[in-house]
Amino acid sequence: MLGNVLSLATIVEESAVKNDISNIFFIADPITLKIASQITLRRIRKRFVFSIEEFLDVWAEDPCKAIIILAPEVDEVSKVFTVIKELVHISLRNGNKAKIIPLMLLRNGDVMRSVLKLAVESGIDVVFPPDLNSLAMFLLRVANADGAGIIVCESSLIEVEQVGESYDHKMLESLDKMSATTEIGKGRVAVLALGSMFRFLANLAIEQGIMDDVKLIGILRFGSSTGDIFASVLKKYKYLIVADPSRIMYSLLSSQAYYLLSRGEIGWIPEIIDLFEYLDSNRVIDFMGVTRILKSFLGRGVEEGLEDIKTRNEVAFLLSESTEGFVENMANKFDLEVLCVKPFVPSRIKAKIVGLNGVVRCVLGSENILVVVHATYLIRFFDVFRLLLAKKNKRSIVILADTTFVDRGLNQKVVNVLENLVSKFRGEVSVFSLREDSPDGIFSKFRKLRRIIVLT
Amino acid sequence: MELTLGIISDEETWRLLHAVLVRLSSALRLKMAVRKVLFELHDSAMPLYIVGIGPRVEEYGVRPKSVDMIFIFLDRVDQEVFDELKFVIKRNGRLVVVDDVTDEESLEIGESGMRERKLLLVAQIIHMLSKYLSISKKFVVKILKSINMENINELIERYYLVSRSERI
Repeated sequence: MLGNVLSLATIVEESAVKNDISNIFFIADPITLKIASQITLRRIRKRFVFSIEEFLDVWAEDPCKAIIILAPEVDEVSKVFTVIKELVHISLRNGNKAKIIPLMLLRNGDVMRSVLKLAVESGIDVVFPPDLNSLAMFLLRVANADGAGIIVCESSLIEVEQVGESYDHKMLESLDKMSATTEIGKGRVAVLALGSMFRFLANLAIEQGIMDDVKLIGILRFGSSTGDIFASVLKKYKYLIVADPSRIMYSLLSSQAYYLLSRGEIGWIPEIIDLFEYLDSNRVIDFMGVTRILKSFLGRGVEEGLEDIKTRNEVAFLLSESTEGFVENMANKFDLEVLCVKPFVPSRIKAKIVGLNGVVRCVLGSENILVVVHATYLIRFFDVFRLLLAKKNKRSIVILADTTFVDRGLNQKVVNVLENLVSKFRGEVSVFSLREDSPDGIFSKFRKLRRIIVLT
Repeated sequence: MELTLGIISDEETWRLLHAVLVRLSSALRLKMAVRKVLFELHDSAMPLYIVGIGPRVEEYGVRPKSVDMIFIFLDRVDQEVFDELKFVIKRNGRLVVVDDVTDEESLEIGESGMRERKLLLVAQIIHMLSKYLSISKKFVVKILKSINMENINELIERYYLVSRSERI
């Protein structure tokens, strides 16, 4: 009865089966765990690790052809690149038998910026599929071909699903190689975009009837060949619009233009416009705003009368009702300041939404605090939380570890790892579970201990 | 018939509703596209699922005045959220909050209150969809029962989503 569902999870699942991959590694995180929860095929072994180093340890014991799915924080991107660079070399030496296919999920624009910078510096090719069909194609190519690279999924690809659709296997198999760019339109103004932004603009250009005005150039592979691509575009077009929310492409294109001008390779000063300079914030995208700006640059008038709806390129989850209920109860009873670590956002409780840096900043404060964080984050970044828990003053600290997307199998691993980490505090910090301990019991223990971790 | 829904909910409730929607659209051989966007409020942001059901579905996020119905699975909603949502919803669109469902119908909600109310709203959504998509109630019940959703059978009967003669 259930029809075809085209989503990141189903594509990964099908690609794994088609390429004889039976192991998918997940660096545990709410985003990767959500994908894992949607992969249900029994012949695929889902393996959960808490860091890229742990993955290396596990994989080195039994090198196998595998997909690794990870959603790094900004501060982790550089480390991930270093490891993946080595893995790419190992994979190339091992041929098809022990190949690693890294699939990096971008949680927000900051991570994207960091990935683009490192792609240029490291020389590793980063592939940006504009849509789910291209993702299927790239996964197939990276899994089979001799080349290697990182496949990146922007937040717009992580949170999309089409029911009643499937990709065309025959079409995918007929494609020989991965092109670095794709182009549509026949205008004199080049519009450069990366990944899903290309798809967004292609849709917009067709809908707004501006295909004769623009040449839309989608960059699908970013890294070693980007400089050459930019040079050839600059040699062809005098007017260029860059639609890249990370703003990295604009600065690279400008430098390339300066370089070509200085060597006399182009005889004009190209006019390069950064589209996102004209939007309110580089993290916010709205369809109407982009349409208006693009059309005004093309001299095609301004569309008025509708309010903009601004959306962020970011993955976020609402806290569950039960978690919010407990937080509200506890914060009121004990006068705690509440911090909610992204990607979770509260719906009704008053909480400061912070990244991990926000938790680091709290280490030096004196307020009694309650931090809501995903259980996997607490483990992955325990060093940050250790500082908070170890502070020798009279502050009260509650860490609420949310277990959304943590399935039964992984839950036991999470509990074991946490208990092991907490054991170093020698009884000064205790771990409770909302499934097993009553809220009143937790409250009374908290009055004595002042530092607790509660698993939801 | 094309229909665009907006859903604000936590992940657990979404999974519940998602299972129903996927089965419903598959059984009706309708396409469905789901996209989650994080829409901006003044000093925060709220995740919103946009669900397009129909032969041709919207692929890109959310546009002004494009959503037929918005369902909010939260027990308290800031005025700010309502203010922002009015730009999303069509002029004759409908906005349903989980609290409204229970208030309007003066239902007695038990100990497990919120979960029961959410299940009720899921059932309400399906009930509304059956009208929009011209699906027989008998078929709706069949879909709901195929999912074996906890309490859903009880809810169907308790809140008279179908008459006794239409039950399977």
